[in-house]
Amino acid sequence: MSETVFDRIRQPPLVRYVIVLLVGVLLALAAGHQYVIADWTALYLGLPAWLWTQLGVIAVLFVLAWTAVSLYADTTEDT
Amino acid sequence: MPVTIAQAVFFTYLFLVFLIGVYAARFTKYTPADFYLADRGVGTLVLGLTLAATVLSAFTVFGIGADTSQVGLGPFSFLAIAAVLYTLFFASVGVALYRIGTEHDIVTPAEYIRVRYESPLLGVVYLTVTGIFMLAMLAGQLLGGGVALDTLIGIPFTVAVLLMALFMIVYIHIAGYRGVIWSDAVQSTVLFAVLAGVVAYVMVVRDSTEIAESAAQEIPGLFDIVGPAELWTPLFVMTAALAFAVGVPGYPHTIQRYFSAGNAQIMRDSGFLFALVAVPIYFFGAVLGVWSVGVIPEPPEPDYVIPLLVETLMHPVVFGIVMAGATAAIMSTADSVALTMSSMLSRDVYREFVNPDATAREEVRATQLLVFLLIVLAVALTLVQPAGIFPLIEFAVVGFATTTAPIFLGVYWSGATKSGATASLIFGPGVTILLFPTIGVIPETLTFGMHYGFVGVLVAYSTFILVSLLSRAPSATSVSTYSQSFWGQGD
Repeated sequence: MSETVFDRIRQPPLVRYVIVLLVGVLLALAAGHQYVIADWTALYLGLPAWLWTQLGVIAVLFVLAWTAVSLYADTTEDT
Repeated sequence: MPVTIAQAVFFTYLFLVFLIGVYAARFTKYTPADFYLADRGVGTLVLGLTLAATVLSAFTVFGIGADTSQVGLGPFSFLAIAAVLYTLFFASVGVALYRIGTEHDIVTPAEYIRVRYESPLLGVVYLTVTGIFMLAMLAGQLLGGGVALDTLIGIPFTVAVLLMALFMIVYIHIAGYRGVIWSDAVQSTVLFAVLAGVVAYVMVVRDSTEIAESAAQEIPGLFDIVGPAELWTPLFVMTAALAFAVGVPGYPHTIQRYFSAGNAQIMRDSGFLFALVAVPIYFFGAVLGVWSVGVIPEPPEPDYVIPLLVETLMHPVVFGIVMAGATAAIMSTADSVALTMSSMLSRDVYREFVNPDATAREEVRATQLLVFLLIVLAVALTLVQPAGIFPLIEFAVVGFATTTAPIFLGVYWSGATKSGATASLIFGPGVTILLFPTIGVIPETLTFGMHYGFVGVLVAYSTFILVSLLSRAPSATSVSTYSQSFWGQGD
């Protein structure tokens, strides 16, 4: 069976760059979204739109963290 | 004096926690590994929930609401981002420490420091520095709980503090770590359910938008992302999140939980479970805080806006359960701190310096006695009632962050040295104390818009690296035994 792109990114050293990239994107998104949503102040169910959006961003951050952690676990499994 | 509904609910809750301790005692063996770590067999659900209960404290229940009712929703932004970052720490350094602990029968963070740097004295330095923050955290929890119970449900302050202390002493004494984590699992579940129920009630039954509009009229800018005082800039949010992200996974009582995981996968998964429980709880606390302004514009006790909001809007039984949930958060943090600190004193001072020939049973007996003495000391401090409870707890969190360099970097960096660790444990916490706003020896302008705790962390880590580079590392054998490669084999 031929090797897929998912198999290739799980192999060192590429996996390390992918993990660093994921953590970098996570931090950039965590900081950057605050600039984008700053003016979204309309209230929905008693809370500003920026807060509802931020909950979505936090969910995305969790997905990025989960992916990074899963890849990292693969690299350190045998140690 | 007749007992009110809220008081009855509170007393019932304390009794429930006590019963959990009694039940857990049936499974407890009085060996260090079992009494401190539940025989290193904790599963994902209990480990995730005990992490949540331990981290979520009086600060979460009272502090977040009090904060957001004055400064807006910024505290949620930084706590939620920090919670995501915790998962990365739990999966990296948490798993590495789990493995080292299991391989070498290490059960306390001070013991790790002692063997990693081949210095019993450094273990004592770590214990002393973290002990200051742990005692502040323990007394802070009891104080917060005592004042809240006195103010809100009329249980006299001294009685409330003594009751919480007595119940903790008994269930830690008879059931050790197992009693703590089982009661934690129940307590974090209660806290989550109670706060979720209140938020859902306000959204569905009450007109939350009307309440929010009233709050926004009362404090213009309350719902802006930067808050009414424009404090919560992205820089401030990110630096506060990073300070907490280093601090919380570096609590000595969090580190002890790494050692107790059943396996590496459980350690990773419980980190995510913890964050998935913590983020909604932060959210509930934050939104109840801002909504409270629309219902109680001038609260008699600004620190207790969440319980006051619930008391105003809901049935006394719900109010009693909220107070039980608040007590849950307080006791579940305090019990963990008490057990971790007493186990470090017992293992890293008593057995190391006082009675090296102590049997396992004697070591556990010493821990039981120390739990009692520590809680009595914390009660004495609490009865003195030092001021500034919530800033004090925040100070303890960032203080812990400044003690993490020797642990976190020591796990991965073979060049880490005893001198670097010592300097880091002195300068990092020292600068943080001098920057602490209540003390204010170093002016706030020198933080350049960053959270003061983050500045303390930068000092601690840069000192650790610089001094380590200038000094001689422990033997390669020791380092390889008590460290792990960050990227695994073949690195």
